[in-house]
Order: sequence, then C-alpha cells, then structure tokens
Amino acid sequence: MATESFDHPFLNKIRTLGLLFGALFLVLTVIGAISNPQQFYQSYIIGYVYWLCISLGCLSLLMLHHLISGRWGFVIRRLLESGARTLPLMVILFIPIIFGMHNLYEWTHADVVANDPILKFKSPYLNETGFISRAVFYFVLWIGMTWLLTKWSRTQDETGEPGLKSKMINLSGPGIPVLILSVTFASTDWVMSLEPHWFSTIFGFIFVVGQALAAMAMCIIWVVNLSDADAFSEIEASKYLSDLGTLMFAFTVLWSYVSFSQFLIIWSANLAEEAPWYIKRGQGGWDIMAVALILFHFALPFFLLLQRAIKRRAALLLAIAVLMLVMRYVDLYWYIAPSFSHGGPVGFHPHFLDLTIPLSIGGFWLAYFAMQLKGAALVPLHDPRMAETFAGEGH
Amino acid sequence: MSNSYFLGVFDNESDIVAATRITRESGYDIHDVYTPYAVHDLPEAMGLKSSRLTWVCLMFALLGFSIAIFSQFWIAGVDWAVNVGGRPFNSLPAYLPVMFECIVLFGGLGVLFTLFVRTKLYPGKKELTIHPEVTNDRFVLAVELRDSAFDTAAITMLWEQYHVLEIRQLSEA
Amino acid sequence: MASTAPEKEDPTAPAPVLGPGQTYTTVTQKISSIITSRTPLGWIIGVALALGLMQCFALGVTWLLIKGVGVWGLNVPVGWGWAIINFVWWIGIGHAGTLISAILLLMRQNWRNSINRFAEAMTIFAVICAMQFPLLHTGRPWIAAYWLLPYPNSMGVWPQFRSPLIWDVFAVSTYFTVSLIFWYIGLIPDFATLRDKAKQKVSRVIYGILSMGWRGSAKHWHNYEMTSLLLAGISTPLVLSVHSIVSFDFSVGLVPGWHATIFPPYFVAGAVFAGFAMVLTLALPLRAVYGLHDFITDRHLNNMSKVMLATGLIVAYGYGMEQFYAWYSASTYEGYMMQNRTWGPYSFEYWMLILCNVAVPQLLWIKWVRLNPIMLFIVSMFINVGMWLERFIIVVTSLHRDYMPSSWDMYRSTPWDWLLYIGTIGIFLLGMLLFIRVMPVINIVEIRLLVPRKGHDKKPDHDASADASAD
Repeated sequence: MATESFDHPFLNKIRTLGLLFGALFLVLTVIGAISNPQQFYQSYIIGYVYWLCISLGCLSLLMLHHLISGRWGFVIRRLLESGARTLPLMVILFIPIIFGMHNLYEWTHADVVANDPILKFKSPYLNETGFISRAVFYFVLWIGMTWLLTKWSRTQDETGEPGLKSKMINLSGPGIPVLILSVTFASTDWVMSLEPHWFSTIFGFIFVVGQALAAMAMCIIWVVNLSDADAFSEIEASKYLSDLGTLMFAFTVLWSYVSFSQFLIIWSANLAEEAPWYIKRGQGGWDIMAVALILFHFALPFFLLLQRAIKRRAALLLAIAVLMLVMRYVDLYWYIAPSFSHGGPVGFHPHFLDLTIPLSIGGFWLAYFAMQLKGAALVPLHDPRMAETFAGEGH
Repeated sequence: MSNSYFLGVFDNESDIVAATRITRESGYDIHDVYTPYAVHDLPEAMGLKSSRLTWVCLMFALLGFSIAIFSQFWIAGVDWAVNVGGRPFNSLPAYLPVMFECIVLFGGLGVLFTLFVRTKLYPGKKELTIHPEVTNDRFVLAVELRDSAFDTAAITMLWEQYHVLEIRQLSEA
Repeated sequence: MASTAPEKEDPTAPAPVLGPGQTYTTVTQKISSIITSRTPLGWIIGVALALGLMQCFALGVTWLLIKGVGVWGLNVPVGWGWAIINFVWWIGIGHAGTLISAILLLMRQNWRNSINRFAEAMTIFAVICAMQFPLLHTGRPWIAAYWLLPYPNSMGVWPQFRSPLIWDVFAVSTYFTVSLIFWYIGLIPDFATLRDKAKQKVSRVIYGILSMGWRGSAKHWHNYEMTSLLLAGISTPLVLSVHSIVSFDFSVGLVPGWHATIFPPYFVAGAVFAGFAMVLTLALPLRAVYGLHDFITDRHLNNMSKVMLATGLIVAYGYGMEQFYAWYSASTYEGYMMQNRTWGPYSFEYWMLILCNVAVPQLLWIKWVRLNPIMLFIVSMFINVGMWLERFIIVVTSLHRDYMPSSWDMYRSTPWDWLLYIGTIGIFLLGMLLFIRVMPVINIVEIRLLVPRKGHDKKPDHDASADASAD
C-alpha cells in the first residue's frame, strides 16, 4: 500500500531512545529476574497491565471518536490508532505472564484449591485452560477490531471512499460494549483474581475509565511534542489542546468517582469478604500511597484542569499529562502489589524491578508506537466528517 | 436625575459588534447594548472586564464545604457521638456525600444571589423600555447623550456604515 | 450563502437542528403562540385526566394519614416497598433534564437548545413527585421536616450522618434547588420576551414580575452567561452524585442484591435511560399536537435514541455484572439471591424487566426505529415500565428472602400503593400541562442562536462544529 507516511524528528528521537532505554532496562530486568524470579513476575504483571491499559485506552477512545466525531478526535485519531496497533506487541509481552502463572495466581495450585472451598467453587472459571483461552479470545477481539478500524482509516486516506466512514461508525457502535465487557473480564482474570477471594462489581469499570485517562494523557504528550508538524499546524492542533485537557479532566473526575464509590460501599459495609482488600492497602506504607493518590491523582489535577488558562498552556498541560501517567502507574501499583502478601502482613517493599520493568516495556512500546505513527499521515486525509467538523472554525 | 441616550437600532449580530467597537474607539461613552440573546463578542467590543463570578462561586462553595465538614464532625463526633455499627466517630468517608451536596448548594445559591445583586434585577423591577423589539429581533446600541454639543450627525454617519436601521433619542425621567 | 441552512451533499450527514426558513421573529411567534393561542381541547382533556388522577393521590394520602403506613403492602422482611421504588423511579426520570441542560451545554451540543427547557421542567415536577414518598412514608409528614433537617431532637440527638438516607435528604433538596435555579435563570429572558409580546395587561404584569426587569442589556448578558455556565458546571457532578447517593441507600447496606459496588454508575445510567424515555414519551405527543417539527427535528429523535441505547447498554452491563459476580463471589447468599431473582416467585417481573430494558431497546440500533415517532414512543413506554420494574426487582427480591429463611415472606402491593403511585403521575401531568400553557416550552433565546445569521457574518453557524459532533 502506497499510503502517505509521516516523519518528524521527535518520532525518530523517541524511536531511538525507546529502543535504547528499552534494551538497557531489559538488561537490568534480566539480572533482577535471574536473582529473584518471584519478584520479577510480581513486578512484571504491574508493568504489563500498565502499558496494556494505554493500548486499550487508545482503542476505546478511537471508537468513541468514531461515534461522536468531535474535533478533538480528528487531531488525535492517528495517535489513537498507533496506540491500539501496539496490541500485537502486547501479545508477545503476555507470554511471561503465562510462564509466571504459578508465581502469581494462588488458584493455579491444585493443593491450595483442594483445601479452599471458595476456590473450588470458582474453579470452572479460574483455571489455567480457561485463563489462557480467554486471554487468546480477548486479544483476537481487540486486535481484530483494531485491524479493521485502522485498515479502513488508512484506505480512506488513499481512496477517500465515503462508505468507509459508515463502516467505522458501524463497527464502533457494538465495538464499545464488546470492549468494555472484554476489559471487565480481562481485569477480573489478570488483576482481581490475584486475590481470588475478593470481588467487586465496579472493578472492570474502574479499569475502563483508568485506561481512557492514561490514553488521553499519552495523546496530550504527543500532540504537544508534535505541534510543529505540518499536518498539525494546518489544522491548528494546539488550539484543541484545551479540549483534550477537558477530556482528561473528565476522565480524572470519573476515575475519582468510581474509585471513591467502590471504597465508600466497601468501607461502610465493612464485610469480612471485602474490607481486607482496603485494610491491606491502608497500612504499612500503602496508606501514604493512598493519600498520594487522593492528592495527585485527584486533587491536584482537578484544581489545575478546572482553570481554562492552564489548559491552554501547552507546557503546563504537558506537565499535568505526565503527572497523570505517573499516577496511573502508582494507582495500578497500589492495586496490584499488596496482593502478594499471601496471608502475612504486607509491607511496602518496592523493588528496583518495579521501575525497570515498566520502563523497559515502555521503551519498546514507545518505539513501536513511533513506528506505527510513521506509517500514515498524521491527520486523516479524506474523512468526509472532517470538512464539516472543521468548517465552523474559530470561536 | 435625567439621562438621555442616543440609540442605534441594528438587526444582526455582526453589525452591532462592529458598530459597538468603532463607537467606543471613536471616544463615545457607551451606555449599554441591548440584544435578544447573548452575543459572545460584545463584552470584548464594549471593553467589559471578564466576569468574576467564578471566584464568587468558589468562595461560596468553600463556605459550604467548611460548614458541612465542621458541622458533621461536631454533630457526629462531639455534640452527641453515637456509635453506629462500630464506625469511628470520625467517619470522614461517610461525611463526603453531604459535604459535596453542600458545596454545590452553596455555590449555586451564591452565584444566583450574586447575579441578582450585580445586575440589580429583582422581581417586579421596572426598567426603561429601550426598544420594544429588543427581546425579539433588534440589537440596540445606546450611547450616553451628556451635553448639547453631542455631534449626532457624526455618529449617524458612523453607524450608517453598519446598516443602522433606525436612530432614536431617549430620555429617562 | 450563510442566510440559508447549509445544504449537505452527504446523505448520511446529520439532519438540521432547526427547520429551514426560521427567523428570530418566526421563532418568537411560533413558541409564544403555544401560550397565546386558544386553549386546545386536548389540553383541557389532559388537565381533566390529570386532576382525576390527582384524586387518587388525595384519596391515598387521606387514608394513609388516617390509618398509617400499615395500609401499604409492607411486611417484616420487605420493609421498603413501593414508596422507595416510586421515589427512585421519579428521581431517575428527573435526571435527563439535568443531563440535557447541563452536560450537553458544557459539551456544546446545541441540538439540546430546543428540548432543554422542557426537560428541565420535567426534572422539577419529577423531583416534586419523588419527594412525596420519603415525606409520606414517615406517616406524619407535617413533622418530617423536623426529623430530616440537621436539628437535634428533644433528646439532643442529631440526624445520623453516616446513613445514606440523610445523604439523600441533602442530595435531593440540593438537586431540587439547583435545578429550580437553573430553570428559572433560563426562563428570565424568555419571560421578558413574553412580557413584550403580551396583549393583555394581566399577562404583561405577571411576566413583567417574573422577568425581573430584564431588558437584554449586554452587561447583564455577560454575567448571565457566566452564571449559566457555572450552574451547568456544578450541576454536572450534582446529577452524578444524586443518583449515586440514591444507589448508596441500597449498596451501603448488607443485603445481598443491594450491596454491589457497581450500583452508583449503574443507577446513574439507569436514571438517564429512564429520563430520556420520559422526555420522548412527553415530547413526541407535544410535537405532534403543537406542530413543533421545526424545533424537535429528526436529529433530536436520533440523538436522544442514541443516548437511550448507550445508557441502556450500561444498564444491561449492570445486570450482567450482577449475575456474574453473584456467582463469582462464591457466597451462598449472593448466589441464592440471584437464583431467586431469576427463577423464584418474582421471576416473571425479572424477565419482564429484561424484556423491557434489555431486549426491546436493542431495536434502537435500527435507524428506522430511531426516526419513527410511533416506534420510538412504544420503545420509550417499554423503558418507562422496565425501569420501574428494575427498582421493584432490586427492592423486593432482595428483601423478601435474605439471610434467614425463617423470616422469608412474599410482598404484595395494596390498592393504596397503586393510588399513591397513580396519583403522582397525575401531579406530574398537571404540572407539565400547566407549564406548557403558561411558560415557553422551548427556550426562545437559545433557539435564536440556531437561527442562521443575517447578512455580513463571517461565521455562518454559531456552533457548526459542535453541531456536527452531535451525530
């Protein structure tokens, strides 16, 4: 396909640096993994879920964009597509989790399950075959939808065929419910079942919102850094930064809303099946992290993004987006890491692998992302909706 | 006290904005502009300062926040502490919903109150009818007519560039 | 070019939000003619019907006050019956109004301009209906205010701030107040228009008082716009909070079937779902009777249907998650609750709920259904019923068989439950009918923003872009 491509010094820089740092941290990770395999898997699942969430967030925002087609969507569509197209990389990176299942998931141990009536009850769902086949199913769904959406989008660049627009809309309509359902079950499989006795019905929803937030922060970072690219100056992309900032604000508020709802309901009921999950996370250093989440995942970005003047300043918005990406990791760390206590008291024991793994995956993810972004024009070329959308310029 | 105004009547948004801007720049004192809906470029053309209602709203919201937090802690923890299902007297998570509602209630009432005070509107207020169609389809620019030296010809010329429909003089008793 | 509505070649392009050929004057005339024209026969019949239904309310309340809440079908395991079901149902219906007026305003979706006034009025009357139930269920409503407000009783004991029921008092009264403010602020300039158009002295005086001397001064508009934005800004989290707090009434408790963390977002989505269904239930006949096709266009029907479809899917997601996690929890009580809900004595109601709220709304995937007023009306009626059944299922099936089999019992409503419920429908209808008769049912000022600009404008349409994004 002779699609138009896109080039920018920032892209090349990210690709080179991404590969370099990815490799460097990979070496450190390998050293850590050899010396402490158990710790490796525990840190790996956090880093992996973090980057997977960004890819999936891109896919969900992409479908949202097709459905509501606001101006902001055309600015970041190619970024979202590239983000979703990193999913094949995430498939490869899933392999260590399969190898580490026994280190991570209590319910994979036949002897534990035999002595635990609850796990025995859940075994039709929580078993190794089910876990792996469901993972395959999720990835086929996600990659299939991504493949179709990005293929149509790129064909549209070349041919300008008007019917492709409806195809993308028609896939995104049912696509969003399918994605939300699959993310719910994936988060149950991969994260909730780390503590297999615990359950919360809003859990999948929290992941869906967190993903969208992370993807939006990632897009803002790219838009700011690519704002001098020709395609972006043509549509004056930086003018839409404040719209993107508003969306990031909305997702931040939604995240706070769903997180607080889950906490308040469990805290008030104080049931023995549920409350320990929060009790664990409210002591021994984790409490400080919880306060940090309230302050920097909610309060600070909330009050900053409330002000229009701040959302219009690219440098400040960039800083907030970076903060949100960091806090997404803190949030996932706080969700996942205390799970590995196995009954005993949980201390706050960060390990250097908790840093090298996300950074290593992130390096490769970003390099892969940059390569995907090069494959097509930075802004869709012939989407009929764009003309309408950008017609009412300047208010 | 008697005020006199010199009125120009227009029939669309862009003319009134342009006419307002040029009138102000030519040194006339604009009394006010009357429009059938909120014209977004007018405040800037009239040289109005940006509204500070946001800060007022924030202050009232903070007041609501303080009252809600203080009274809940005081009521449920100090004045008559009741043990409910073993929950602590300091049940901050359970106080947040009421706190939030008070923030919104105070912010909303505060901003309404401030709007009425700022615009001096109140039920039954009688104000001078500037033009009968200003609440339908006319846009009226009112300039202060202070002394007899006011050059009506010049301003008429100025407004004619912007398709003024009608020119009037109006006195307030 | 800018003087006519832009013709789009793309057949899939969205329909306009305002019919062609409208000017400021025709808009003013058309909307105020609903008030100034002769009273249509249909309106009189409607009012007669509403008054008739209100007699049910009077009867139900009188007997309730004479005998006490024992006249309702409540019993020991099922201590919450129709009163809370109706309360939640009405509050939910109100949510569409706030969503349309606040959230869509912030999202610059200007198609909302012609339905927001109407939907806000619906919010006000729905909340009034909702408030009847918490007041009446106290049995002695004239002293209920004394129990609900934060004021210590004669023993010095205050209301219980850890209870979601007291959160509800704050949430609902705040919601009512802020919605009323928002509604009234929006009405002021329209009252001024009606005052200037009024032919009779009485109406001129009344609209004059209500319009507070509004003259359309740009200085006033400047602060007025800011106020609207701020109110929209605080109403948006408010609407989320109100139904979340209503959901806390259940989820903070320990009863299986109530205690689920998904409740807040699932209740909010359900509220919007029900609210939009009610907006359509009322707007479709209104549009037909008063010929408002230029204001409530196919675009509105299409967009509202899509919102219903989306929120309906979230609700369906909620049902699914409840089923799955009831099993996944491996808790006997959770598992039994779900099994009892699905196959127990109330299974008919449960499957009717699935039919009304999950199966029928799937018709909205079809564009023809979204644009066909009759089909849309039918689907909306299904949703109205379905959302009532949802609350019935949540309240009754969870309570009637909980932890102790020895105290299991069945719940049956009594005629007094029916009378009160039907009576509030009368209150709601009467409120809406009076509103239609004396107030501009469509926001005149905001419709002016949709009128194509005259003459020398560079900007053809105020929000053309946001407009396109509404699709």
